[in-house]
Amino acid sequence: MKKYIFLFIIVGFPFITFAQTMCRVQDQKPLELLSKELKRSMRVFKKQKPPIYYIAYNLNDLNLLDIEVSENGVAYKGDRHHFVLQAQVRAGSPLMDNTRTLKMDNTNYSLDTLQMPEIGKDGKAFSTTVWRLTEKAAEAAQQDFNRVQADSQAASERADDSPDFVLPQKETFCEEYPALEFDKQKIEQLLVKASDLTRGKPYVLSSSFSFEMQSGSRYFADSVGTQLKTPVRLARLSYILRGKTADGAKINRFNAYDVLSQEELPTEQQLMADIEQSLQELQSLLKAPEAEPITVPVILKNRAMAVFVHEVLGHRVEGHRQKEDSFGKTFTDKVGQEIVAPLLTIVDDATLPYFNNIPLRGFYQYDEEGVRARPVTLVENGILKGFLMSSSPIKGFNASNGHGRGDEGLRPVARMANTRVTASQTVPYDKLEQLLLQEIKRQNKPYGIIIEDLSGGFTMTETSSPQTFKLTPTLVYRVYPDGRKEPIRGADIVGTPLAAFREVIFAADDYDVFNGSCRAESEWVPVSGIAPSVLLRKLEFEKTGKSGLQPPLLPPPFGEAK
Amino acid sequence: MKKLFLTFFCLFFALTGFAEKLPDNMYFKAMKDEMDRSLKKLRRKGVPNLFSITYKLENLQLAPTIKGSFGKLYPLSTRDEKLSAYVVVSVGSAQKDSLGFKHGSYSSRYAYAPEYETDIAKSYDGIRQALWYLTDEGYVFAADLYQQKQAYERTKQLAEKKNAPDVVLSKQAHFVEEISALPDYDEKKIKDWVKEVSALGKDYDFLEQFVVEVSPVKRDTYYLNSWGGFYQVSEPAVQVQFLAQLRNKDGFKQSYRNEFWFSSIHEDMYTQMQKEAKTFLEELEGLYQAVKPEEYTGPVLLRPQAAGKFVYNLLGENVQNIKPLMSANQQEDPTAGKFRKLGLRVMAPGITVYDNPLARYVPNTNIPLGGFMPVDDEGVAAEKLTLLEGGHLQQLPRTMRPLADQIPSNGHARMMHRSFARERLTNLQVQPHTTLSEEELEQKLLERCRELGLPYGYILYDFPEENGGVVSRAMRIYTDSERREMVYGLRLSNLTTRALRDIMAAGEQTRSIWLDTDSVFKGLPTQSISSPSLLVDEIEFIPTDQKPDKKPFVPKP
Repeated sequence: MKKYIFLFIIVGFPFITFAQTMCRVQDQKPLELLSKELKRSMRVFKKQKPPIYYIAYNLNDLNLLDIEVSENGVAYKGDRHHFVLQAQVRAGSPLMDNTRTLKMDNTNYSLDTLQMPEIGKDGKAFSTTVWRLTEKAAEAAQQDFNRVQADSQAASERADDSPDFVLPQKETFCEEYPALEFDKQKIEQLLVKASDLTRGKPYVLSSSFSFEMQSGSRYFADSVGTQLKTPVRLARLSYILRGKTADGAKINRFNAYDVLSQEELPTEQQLMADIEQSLQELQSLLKAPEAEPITVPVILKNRAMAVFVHEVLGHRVEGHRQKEDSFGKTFTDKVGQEIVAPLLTIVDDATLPYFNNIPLRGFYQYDEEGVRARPVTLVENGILKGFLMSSSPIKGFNASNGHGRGDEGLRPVARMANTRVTASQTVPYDKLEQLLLQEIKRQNKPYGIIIEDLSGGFTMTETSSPQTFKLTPTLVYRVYPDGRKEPIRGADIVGTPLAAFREVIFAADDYDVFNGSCRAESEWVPVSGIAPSVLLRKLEFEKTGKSGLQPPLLPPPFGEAK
Repeated sequence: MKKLFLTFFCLFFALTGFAEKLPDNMYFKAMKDEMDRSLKKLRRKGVPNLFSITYKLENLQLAPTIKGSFGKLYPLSTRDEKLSAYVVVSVGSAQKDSLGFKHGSYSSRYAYAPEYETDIAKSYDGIRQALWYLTDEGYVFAADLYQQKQAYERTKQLAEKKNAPDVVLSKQAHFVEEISALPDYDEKKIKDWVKEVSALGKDYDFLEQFVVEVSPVKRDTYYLNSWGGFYQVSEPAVQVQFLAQLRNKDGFKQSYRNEFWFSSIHEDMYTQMQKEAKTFLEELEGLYQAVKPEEYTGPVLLRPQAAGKFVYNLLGENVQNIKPLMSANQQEDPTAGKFRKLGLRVMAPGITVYDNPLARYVPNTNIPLGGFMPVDDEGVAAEKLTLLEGGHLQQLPRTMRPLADQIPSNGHARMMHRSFARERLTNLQVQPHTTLSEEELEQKLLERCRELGLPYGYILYDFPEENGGVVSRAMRIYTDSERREMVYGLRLSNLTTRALRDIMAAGEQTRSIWLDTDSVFKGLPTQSISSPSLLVDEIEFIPTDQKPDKKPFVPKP
């Protein structure tokens, strides 16, 4: 516990330097109008057949900025105000409602949204739009509920007969931050200058240099009486460089900087140095030998380990995947059992705003179902402790722990936020590489592998397909027993989750952050992962698929230019 | 020898520069440089040489849309600018090239050219990068298509193909005008106009939604081909849209839309917006009270907007893409027009139909026409065509890819999305020889209904895009009392080109509408039609089977 508090204080410091202000819910006109419309609607809806028993509104009031640059020019620039309302309407009762997945159709995740007009003095146009959206959503909810009722009569017995919904507790919260401010012109100039680094490099077939920002507030009001105003703050500068080998393999290098102020952006010198480094990596990967299918000892570097945990374990401990019979339920009955190496503890903590001065994209105070976020211990010393929960309860876990998340227009489901891996014993990273060499020799393998960068992958959790994962490392080195390193390309990690995590034997003390976006049933949500580098006794690799098409006949003109 | 000469002729144009000077801007510089490089260097062993390259760049600029509802504004959309590149590459020679053949099924969109999936940087280097990618991919694709086309032709008895070239080269033309600025406007003033006009909807309690949008837009097009043709056209416009949603007294939910265009923002626009909004809202009031129709076969008076769509659907669609594509899977080309024989009787006499790519505005107004095209997408000077005279087909739009009759191009080739240039219309004009006033047309409708023993006739304000579609605004007029009532749920049935020969009379007033039919470039249509009201002797309708919706659960706030 002490360790946890210490960590929170350290990482919490940068957060409190911002001038957030606690505001008053009763002063928020959107919440007042939404609540008024909720009361008016619920008086009628609860008497309907089937009854509408719950309504929630999410109103995103955001400023969005996007700049995309390539080959010395601006490809896209957008700066707009996003004012969109989403309605979640539930028909039936918490025991069985319209959101239940149908046996033959598991695609009912979409929610109705509408762009909102300004509120003005009387709020009439705003309220009329709220009313229109509610009517449409209520009608759809009733129709869906009728389908669910019919479906439930024909469906086989459910393994987990938990209710479809647990009503959230009433909450009131209001917090405002100053809007994120960036010097657009300066950023554009920086990106244009950065794009010029690809000039005269014919191996770069395409590239993109971007900046994106979301800043504003999210309002939430529901029929339980919850009223929330929470800040939204995300900003990212990133670039991607793409190439293709003679045998048709696509190679890319990507880098991103998540920030919350102009000052946190990389300096020009740092950015240029990083791009030069990525260019070198790209060039060397394009010439690198292709990987071969093999099982060898592996080091997953910290950020790669964070992605590994996210893909291989994280998605399998999302609550709804323990409930629906269409999922493989890898961990459903394993609470209290050892599922990963005892060295590791995994906590998902949405309330963590920063780690090592890096803003975490998975930070929030309340989820999209109006439930306060709280840290969830998923695995403690290798033993499974719990699941990520939305407001859809499962056997043994009756309440949400604030992980109901989804993109705008999608019904929230249980998703990860900031997934943090800690190791009970660590060694310096250099030592970890020495241990890798020892392990290679001990297993009498020709080489081991270091995964430097892992961009993503997928994990199949449905019973209709093999319960495996496949991850795509983007920067991989072979390490020979004499310590020599050689980049290779086209090595995909494959495996099954129960076996893979038991192979972790050592961890380093070099915790780092992977910031990204995750896509699942409720589409894209921002997420973060924090992890140390780890040594695995073995992982299996297979060849990456190739396009089968040669690179272009002529070199790109920008690559030929002087 | 002839083949060799033609190839030389094409390359001569491309490599020795253009007879006229290209505009001095980054768009043309990038197109010229990349075209030169590709013509010199782009070749692969065993693949026929390049025959032609066509580049078309479109820069669509959208000012923030000002949108309001019931007197309140929505957040402004971003000022947007989208540069798109379209590239068509063919290999072979004029005698036999790679185009005109459909790879795979017709069910998918024609894909003769690859698509550049990311936004193009607005820089010389960015444009060249996109052109390079599309040319390279296009060459590989064309080489594959060439082989497939040759294989197909070897298996068929193509009598008309014997010695007939695929392409008959025509004199190349050019047109260059200054690139104008995106219409400048006083944002506050437009916001006030939108607030005031959208507030008119407050007086109509049955309206669930009433939105007014003003969107200034500009399309700049830059075109260059390897035969020496080029053009640069700048088209500013302002789109005004009304969108409404209501639930009529029988409970049917219905959405309505009306749009009109201006060339720039000016004071008269506000007056026009108010006038159009009032007319639109009055129509909506009629639609709120509308009654359910029954089966009907009889005379119909089509008001100008409905008449324009009627003529486009039955005539326009049948004189475009008249050279059908060959397909390896034996299907007929579903997009190919069926009227290909000159002299064919198509329409009632007394109406002349033109297609005029050189018309830029509706005569005596500053209302822009979507189909302005001084030079076509094969670099040929576009000509005004008399499509129909005395009801007979007089001319057809033609490209450099002739039908069996070998008549040369008249400058009506237009590229569609990811497709090479085919025969297309531009600005259709329906011109009757004699006209009647709107009142006289109504009386003629009633007389004809009485002759047929019908209790009422129909007046249509809009026309569905396809047979079987529902008419959005239709009115009955009774023969005994001349009483009028709007109807809802009127479905067009069994419409054939026969209806064109059933036109009995035409009106005096013409209205021009933009047709969003074959937009190469999303956001701004490339065709228009101007038509007066038309009285048609017989059209068949049936009621829709749609069931009414429930009343709102909760009353409107």
